[in-house]
Amino acid sequence: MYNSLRNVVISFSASILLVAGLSFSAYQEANNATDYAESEETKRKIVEQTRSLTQVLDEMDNALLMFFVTKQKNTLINFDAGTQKRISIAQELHKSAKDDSALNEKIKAIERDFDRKEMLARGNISDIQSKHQLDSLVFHQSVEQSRILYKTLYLFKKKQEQLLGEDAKRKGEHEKNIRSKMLMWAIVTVLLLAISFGLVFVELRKRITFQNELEKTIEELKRSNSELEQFAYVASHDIQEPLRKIRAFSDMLLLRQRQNLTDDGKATLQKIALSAERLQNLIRDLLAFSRLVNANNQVVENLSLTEVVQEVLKDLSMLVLEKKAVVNLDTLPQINGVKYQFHQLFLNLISNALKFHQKNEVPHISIKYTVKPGNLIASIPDIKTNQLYHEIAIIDNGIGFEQEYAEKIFMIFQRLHARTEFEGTGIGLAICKRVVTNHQGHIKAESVPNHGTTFTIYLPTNRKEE
Amino acid sequence: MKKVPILIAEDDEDDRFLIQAAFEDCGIAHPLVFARDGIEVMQYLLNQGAFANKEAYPRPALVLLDLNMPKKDGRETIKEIRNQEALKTLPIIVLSTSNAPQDLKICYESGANCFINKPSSFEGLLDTVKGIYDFWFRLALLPR
Repeated sequence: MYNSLRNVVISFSASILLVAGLSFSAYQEANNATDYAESEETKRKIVEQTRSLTQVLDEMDNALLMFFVTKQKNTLINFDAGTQKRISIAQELHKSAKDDSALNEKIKAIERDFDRKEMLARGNISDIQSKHQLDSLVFHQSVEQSRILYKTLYLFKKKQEQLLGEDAKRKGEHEKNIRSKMLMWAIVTVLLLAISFGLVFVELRKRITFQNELEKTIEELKRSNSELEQFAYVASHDIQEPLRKIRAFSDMLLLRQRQNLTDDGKATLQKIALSAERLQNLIRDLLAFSRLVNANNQVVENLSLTEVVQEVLKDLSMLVLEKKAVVNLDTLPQINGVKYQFHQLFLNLISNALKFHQKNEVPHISIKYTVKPGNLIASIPDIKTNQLYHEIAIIDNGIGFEQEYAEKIFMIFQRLHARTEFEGTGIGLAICKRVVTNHQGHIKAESVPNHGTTFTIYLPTNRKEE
Repeated sequence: MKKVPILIAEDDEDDRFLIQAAFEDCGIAHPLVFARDGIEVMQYLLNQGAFANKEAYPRPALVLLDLNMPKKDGRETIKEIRNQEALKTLPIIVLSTSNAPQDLKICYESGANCFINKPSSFEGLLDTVKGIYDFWFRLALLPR
């Protein structure tokens, strides 16, 4: 299950990374495209402005020619206008070129060519105005300068057009490249997403099947639980009744027919009554245990454990008197719990202490209380170390047992002694363990044969350790 | 003078036999009247049906009531008895094998006068019957 989860995580995060990459490169592409468009626009403008310059030069030459032929001064208007125009166009060219220094140099060279052309032309003009004839050398130079200028402008324009073409080509290639790359990425992303979806789908279907099974099991459990409760009721009443009567009738026979019975008959009747009593006790304890297991309708209340133990001691007062037992009881804490369960717990523990006393010693039972932080309770593995616990110890000086049985005694029907030695059903300590675990606590036993036993109960307090 | 009867509601024949034997062994002279369920208890107390003759079936000194009975159980019977104005003073002693806290609560709340656990041994039953007799007929004053 963890493996498939890992795969899902990997393929999903890979998809997310790819989508992020795709978005980023798309964003960059958009930026690039704007840059391309700007540079293209600039080059087009330069080409256009160069063309205008050529046209201006053309107009200027035409005006000059006209003046040379007509010698009329007003034919020079276009020439003068041209000198203004070419300056402003050159300024715009510089603007278009921005900080491209090579380009600016070239534009300056063109301007210098124009300066020279104008200077030569003005020489021609003043020749005509003053001498009414042309200096043929200067005229020739002027025409030559026009030719050079035309050529420069042409080459300049050509160069820009070539650059434009190259740009367009590069842009096209780049776009094609990027397009195929993005397509590939997109395909990989889609594939990865499909794989992730597949994994999730498989996992989900597994979970759903699992959940259905779980629900079915819960349903079955509920049913068997309620059947168990019914069984418990039947056991409590319908099995107890005939048993009670076996006892009552054999008892009655013993009492009423005493003089007619032989000793053997009396002994047999006593055995019948004893067996019935034992079975009754067994059923009573089993019922108590099953009531703990189905503990869902029991009321949790704030109760004083001191009072609970005092009640238990009152219930056991006959036994305590009979055994001349000495009981020391510390003040125990208030806790939240089910009163009936704690009554069972202390009843079982204290009556055990009374039951398993040493023949020639007075039973001493001490019930001691302290608060202990979880990290100081070393002997219990799953204790919470940051929790404060109520520690209640029930210490006796009884017959004890070998420490190796310390865990086994809490299992149901486990006994350490023959029934003839000590009466018992083997359920009492299982009840104790159940009560304690029902209240999120722990119980342990420590014992030395012939010296006594200590049962220690740990119940969580409301406080965490600071 | 004829002694006032004691009404005992008990569905189980063996228990009726045992209770009767216990009363006999304790030497209690009060006549015992047995009812098999809550319906018979009410019929007797209200002199209805087979118990219509008021002379033959007078009001009992007290009722010993089993809880688990067919038709109408002890819990319902207590409530019905206490619903009758004339029977509000009738002592009701519950004698049941149950010791469930909720049974104790419901019985005392509905107006039972005491709740006794049915003993398992015959000796215990003798003690119980003697105890009931000593308390209710010697110590306590019954309503007249």
